[in-house]
Amino acid sequence: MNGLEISDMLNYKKLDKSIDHPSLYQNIGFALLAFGLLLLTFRGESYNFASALFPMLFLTAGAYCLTMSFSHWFTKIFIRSTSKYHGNLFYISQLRTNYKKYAKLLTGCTIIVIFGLFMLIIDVSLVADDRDHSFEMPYDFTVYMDVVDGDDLKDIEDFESRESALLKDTRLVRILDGAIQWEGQEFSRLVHVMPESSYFDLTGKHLGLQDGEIVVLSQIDRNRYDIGTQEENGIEWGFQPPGLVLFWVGGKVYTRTIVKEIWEIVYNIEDQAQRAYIISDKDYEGIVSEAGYDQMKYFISVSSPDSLSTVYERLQEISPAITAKAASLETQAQNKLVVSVLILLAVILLLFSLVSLILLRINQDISEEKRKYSNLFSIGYTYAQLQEEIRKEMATLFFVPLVLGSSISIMYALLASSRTSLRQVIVTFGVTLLFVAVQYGFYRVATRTLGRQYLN
Amino acid sequence: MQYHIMVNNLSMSYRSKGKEKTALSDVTLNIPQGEIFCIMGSSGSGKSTLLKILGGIEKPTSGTVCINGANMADYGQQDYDRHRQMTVGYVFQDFNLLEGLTLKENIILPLTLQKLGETEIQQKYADTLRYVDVGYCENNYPEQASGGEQQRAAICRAIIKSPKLILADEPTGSLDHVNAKAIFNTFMDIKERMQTTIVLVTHDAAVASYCDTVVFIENGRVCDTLKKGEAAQAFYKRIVTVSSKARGYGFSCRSIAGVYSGGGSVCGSLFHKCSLFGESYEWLGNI
Repeated sequence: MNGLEISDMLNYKKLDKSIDHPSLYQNIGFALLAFGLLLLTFRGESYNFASALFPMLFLTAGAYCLTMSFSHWFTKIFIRSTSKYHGNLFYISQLRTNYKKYAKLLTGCTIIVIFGLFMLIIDVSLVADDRDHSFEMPYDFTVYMDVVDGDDLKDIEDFESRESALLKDTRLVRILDGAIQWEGQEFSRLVHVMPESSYFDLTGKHLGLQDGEIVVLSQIDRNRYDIGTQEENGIEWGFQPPGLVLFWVGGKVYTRTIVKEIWEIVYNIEDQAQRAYIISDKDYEGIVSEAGYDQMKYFISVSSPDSLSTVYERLQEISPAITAKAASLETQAQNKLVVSVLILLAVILLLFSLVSLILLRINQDISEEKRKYSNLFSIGYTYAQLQEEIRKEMATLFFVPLVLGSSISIMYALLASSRTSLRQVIVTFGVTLLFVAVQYGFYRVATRTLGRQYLN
Repeated sequence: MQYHIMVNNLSMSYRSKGKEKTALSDVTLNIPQGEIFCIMGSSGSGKSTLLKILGGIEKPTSGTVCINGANMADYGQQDYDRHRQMTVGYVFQDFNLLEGLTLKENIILPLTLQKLGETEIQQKYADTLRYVDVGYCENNYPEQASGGEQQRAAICRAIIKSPKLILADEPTGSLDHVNAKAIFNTFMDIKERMQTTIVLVTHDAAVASYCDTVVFIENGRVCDTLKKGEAAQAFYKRIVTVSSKARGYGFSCRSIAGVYSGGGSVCGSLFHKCSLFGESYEWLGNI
């Protein structure tokens, strides 16, 4: 019984509520961190859901193991040199006892920091991103024409001859609305179906398609966005693999073969995730005749921004279904603002929950800690030495999750993107500094408040 | 006579829940060098407050405390810090060892505050073990040690800095009589070999009976002072009598319960004999 007497056993408290094998946790933690880092670094050019998720899972799991075994490996730093060991005896005692109890708190806080900081980096990147995205819609207006007859074509001719001075470029293109099966659902995902000649009208390029072949057009600029791609039979694809595919147009389902995917911005689309199937002209005519209708999109660029409103009014005479690029960009900007405000609110909530968790935990043990500090004073600690001890304790609670969590967030933010720009680096470190500054403010307030509570 | 500590007209009051409370009132004491000086009294009588003032933990409202001729009223903050770090060793009832440090680490803690080198620390630690042997369990954490071992380690922590004054606040209060006796013997040994003045607060009449001087404090005032010059039994009789008068009927039941060997109830007057550290005493009548 370790020489314990009955009175000792009655007063015996099981202080150590920590994990059973801290060394194991510590080693697994470092291994998971290293593996997550490897996944991030050597994931190649491809970028998809799995390549984004798995490194984050490994890094977070690594952080979990390291914070759960925090007191074990952190104490080793202080017992290496005698002077550090002697100078930090009380702190070592706290690490061996309090921080074992605080392990779950530190883990929770670290995970909050990882996600909070990462969200803040994303948010600031979003707000700070003032790049011109107008290239994604090369035309100022899109007129949707579901059923085209001779009158419509005449109206367009009249419009072009009347307003030629205001117009820079126009394209009348045959594009059908279709749908494909996606994630097990029945023909729910919209696609455009266009003949090769329409693609030629818009780009001046020939694809040389045979009947029954499809080229998938993804209107995403690969120089600006990371797109996860794979190769199959020497063909690079990101949306759908080469091979047979079903698509729906006008109530009928067609089977064709995808032979290629191209990434190019060709015309205005509302949703960048929407793809277009380019098929041979003959194929297209067959589908139109089976459907019994054709659809067209009329794209217009104006010669000067001053003429936007005049052209818009004139276009109403052709069809009321018009989308204006300026209005779309404005809507996008408003949506971006709403999203960024929501993210910011979530980050603020996370930050306050982080601080609240820490303060709540401190408050639970306050009388015990106060007694401990009072005894230290009795055995010879000076006020300055006690304040230093309080600073060390608070620094551990406030900055260990911050250092560990922000390292992971920074690594993720910088390495997850295959094209890390200087701007991204500045935003990431700037936001981290801001986060650290706020946390430092809370740390100072907590240190001062606790100093008053413990030492008075 | 050369006095180590001279307390003159010491008063201490503080505000609690808006009311002025007096902890000590006009206390005057003279404590000679190298004496074991015992303070007895009921809970809340002001014993611990007096100890805290002597230890430089609290400052009195009025009056003076002179230690080795130096008036503590003239102390600055640095002098108080030095007083607590160098002059005084503190021993608590519930040991107050840091549960995250081994017994050895707890013992050397006060030396690390003085920024002593490793060699000096090890030397002083070895010297300390010559007075109180806890070397066999030095690598145990407090929760792995018995109460007696913890209190011995706490005494080591107090004496490792070779203090001129040891303040002990009910050092045997959490121990059974065997350990209490061992701890008191340790104090006696330290007093003899180091010529250290020991001021201890206790409720234990048995412990008090071995002290050189016993003062009784009630309601912040010294109500009686006993000197060991008297015959042992008479001295003990007076402790019991004065304590019972001061404290009322329930005087030190707990401590006597651990040592008496006669029959009868613990708190009353029914038993006829009691034994203190192996010596038998006739019971002295109703108390």
